[in-house]
Amino acid sequence: MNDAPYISDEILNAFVDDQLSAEEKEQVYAALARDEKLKQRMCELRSIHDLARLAYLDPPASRIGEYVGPTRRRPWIAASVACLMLCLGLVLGRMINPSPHTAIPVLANAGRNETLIEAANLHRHSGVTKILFHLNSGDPATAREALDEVENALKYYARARKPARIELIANGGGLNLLRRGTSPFPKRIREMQKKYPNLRFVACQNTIDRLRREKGIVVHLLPGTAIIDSGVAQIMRRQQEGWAYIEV
Amino acid sequence: MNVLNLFYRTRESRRMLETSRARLYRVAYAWCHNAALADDVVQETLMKAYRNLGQLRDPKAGQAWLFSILTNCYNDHFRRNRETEDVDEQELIEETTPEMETGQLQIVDRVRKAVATLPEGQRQAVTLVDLEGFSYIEVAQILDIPIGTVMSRLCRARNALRGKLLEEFRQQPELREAVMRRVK
Repeated sequence: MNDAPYISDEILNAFVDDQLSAEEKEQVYAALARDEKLKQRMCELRSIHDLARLAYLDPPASRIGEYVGPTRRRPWIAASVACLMLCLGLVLGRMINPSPHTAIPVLANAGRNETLIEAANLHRHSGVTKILFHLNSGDPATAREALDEVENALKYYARARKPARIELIANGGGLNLLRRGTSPFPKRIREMQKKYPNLRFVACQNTIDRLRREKGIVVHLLPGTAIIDSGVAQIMRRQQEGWAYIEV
Repeated sequence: MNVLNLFYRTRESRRMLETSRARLYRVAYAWCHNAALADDVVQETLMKAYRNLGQLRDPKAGQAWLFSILTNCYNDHFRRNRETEDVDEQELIEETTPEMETGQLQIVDRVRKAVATLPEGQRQAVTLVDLEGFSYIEVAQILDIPIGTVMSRLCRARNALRGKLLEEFRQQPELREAVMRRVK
């Protein structure tokens, strides 16, 4: 009666993590198109995946100062040193008589475009495509990549005459892109803002506060930049509202 | 030519070690939620890796290799402290998780707390996949478990997190509305 393949939670997780072959993916896409509940579960799993990643983007720094004194010498370190010597022995043994090496296969990551198209497909039903780009790195090359991707997406939807809303959210080192004085591309951002009214640049208030607290930097943003209480919270809210999330 | 190649490879591998500290630390912190312990384990990992660079023939496999050393160091630490407990069944006691330090980030706090309550094996699998983007095959090699176990642990971990987090967020209307503070 029902010849559709059953999509288990394991398969759905593998789909979210991009671990399926093209053929398997196709089956999941077909099932997603038929089954609203499955689609919702997939969105939830994806949110959990993103949340877990976001929660550890900025782990608290370890306090090396704590180590001063005798507590620094923990017994397990001494034991580990012994372990190390053992390993060294192993290495020497290996060098004399090497065993055949087994390479670890690395699965190729899916291309960016595929992610964009996937995002578009998922949100087609709501009419407006909503995409959230997230920039967390202060590296100018990554920032340029982010702007390129945002612009490519905007161009695509403008050309296809499809309604779309795009947001670039910057926190952590990524905030540099939206700061007056540190932004490597202020002119380009200005031009993009003029050209695309459906684009919004958003800065994270938590990062701004942290810069002031930790480094004494008073942040001046580029004109037209919106400020949100917390970048992470905003990403969470946007995902619940059905925005596609793409990390640059 | 071979000797030159060897030198080049060693230099590449050393650079890989230097640039991997932050990633290792992030995962170690996600596993134990204790900054000092995470730092110790990472230091230990890097020392071991440095000494054993010769074992690494293929620099492309370096990350998975490095994280498998991290797993060993981490397990060694706990094995020494709790010899009779199965690492897969261990749950962190909440007092040992310093989430209070980042009190201002409510969501981050809740997610970390939820991750901390997962059994050890599930926490390791889910953090390797979510934080570092390792493939299932790589995670299986890093943790030295069958790929089927990776999938089932991941599945159980995500279901547990989904139950804990999404329900909580759903009940909080303030998290659903976008809070626009000001527009310049």
